[in-house]
Amino acid sequence: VEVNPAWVLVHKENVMKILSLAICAVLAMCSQHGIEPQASDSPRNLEGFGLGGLLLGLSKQYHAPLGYEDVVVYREMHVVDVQISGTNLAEDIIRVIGNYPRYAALKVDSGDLFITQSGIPSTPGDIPVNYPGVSNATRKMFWESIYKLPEVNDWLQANGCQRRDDLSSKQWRGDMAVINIVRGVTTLRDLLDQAAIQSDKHLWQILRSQEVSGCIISMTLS
Amino acid sequence: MAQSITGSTTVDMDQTSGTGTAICETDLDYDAQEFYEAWVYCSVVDSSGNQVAQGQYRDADQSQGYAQVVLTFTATPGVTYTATGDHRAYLNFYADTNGDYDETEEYGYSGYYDPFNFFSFAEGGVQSYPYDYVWYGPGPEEVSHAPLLHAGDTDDSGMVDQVPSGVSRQSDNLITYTGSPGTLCDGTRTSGSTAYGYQHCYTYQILDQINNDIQQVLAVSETINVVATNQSSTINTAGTMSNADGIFSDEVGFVFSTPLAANACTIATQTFTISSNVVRINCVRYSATDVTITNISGGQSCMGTCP
Repeated sequence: VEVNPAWVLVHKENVMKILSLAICAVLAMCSQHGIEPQASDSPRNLEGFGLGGLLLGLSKQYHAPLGYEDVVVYREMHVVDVQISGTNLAEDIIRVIGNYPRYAALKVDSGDLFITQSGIPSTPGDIPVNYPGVSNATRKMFWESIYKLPEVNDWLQANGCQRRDDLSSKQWRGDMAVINIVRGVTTLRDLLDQAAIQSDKHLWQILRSQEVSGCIISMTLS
Repeated sequence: MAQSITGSTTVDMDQTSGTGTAICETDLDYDAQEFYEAWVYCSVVDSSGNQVAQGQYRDADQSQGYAQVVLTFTATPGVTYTATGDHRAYLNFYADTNGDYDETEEYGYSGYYDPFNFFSFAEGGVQSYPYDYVWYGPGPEEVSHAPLLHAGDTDDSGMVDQVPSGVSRQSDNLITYTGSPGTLCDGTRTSGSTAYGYQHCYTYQILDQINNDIQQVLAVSETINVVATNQSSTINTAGTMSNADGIFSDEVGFVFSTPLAANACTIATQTFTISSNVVRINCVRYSATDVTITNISGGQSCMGTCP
């Protein structure tokens, strides 16, 4: 089985704050590194189901785009309660990650931040795809466009996986035709990221799980 | 200013207890008190015109200089209540045939002595004013054949707001998907070439604090918190709007592009919030073939594990 890191993607506009925080921890210079409050709530508890649930809570709290790829065992996941500052995304991501020791490393790539864990089976997030492009698309239209990508289907077949897409109507409620992505070769991860930003749905996830029927890949944009 | 009658009516609604209080008062100024007694009649009607409370008071012998009626009533949320104060001056003194005032009923009695001519306000129809009004006696002195001179009315209204406090399920339509694409609760088609699972299409009526329907367009926020699951289940949090009758729809179920395992399970809480009020908390237990929904708004737990 091919192995890849699991990812938590934080956009570059938030990276410096996270790096500042990391430096702060060593140099005790937090106040000089411009960690600005980004949300009005005071310290509070953040509750979520698994890491994905916590990241979803953070993305909503801060209205910040986040991406998350992981391999999960759903039945082993549980509700987690973390106290967050409510004022600093970088600090709060580190608090959340602190509940999951396997996500210890920080890696900066192309200006974005990835919180990684190595040694797990891969997800299709980084496979190159030849994307035909969409314009003025809703999330549902975007979803259907990536559903048809042959590279994704090839990857699923090669890895013995199935996609499990949520087809319910509720997830598309309030959708606006605002997604514009140009034609070109890119990664599934990047496509989801662009769609998340443009549709104002800030957490995208690619989760791989092993179920009775085999490997399941689920992708969400919530 | 001298020679006046002041009328006032106020309605206060206690939003917490749902109780209304109407106060109607007639005041006579110093000069008027010498010749008149204050009199007031207070009536409260609902928006259909039904009287819900009424009362009358006469300041006999001018002992207070004013007459006041305080009415309390139980208000139905969403109903406008209007109180009307009927303000009058009561004549005690008699006039002789010359129109002169006489404290006792003497020979030559003619009528009631109205030195400030408050009777003139009732001529041509009684006028009503919001909240309060002062009627200044225009004079000259008159003799009235009736002892009770209707100066005019005042009125005020109030309402106990309907607070979204609950929901009741109106309908449940179950759709199942066995492989072929199908129609979803909102009338759209499922994406892709396959669909498996089921979806309950519910409608809910928004209720107020006394379980009456709220017939308004309101924003409904829905929060889903997963408690346990054994499979990928993107249970979505969503918002919606009720229609003008206060009815909104909700979809609950599993609809996926691939078949679910026979033991597929998700347990989640579902919370509906309307206008900052949590109106319903459900415990939703999804299985591969159906879902059970339990109202846990009373604080019951929603625990469990999935195999």
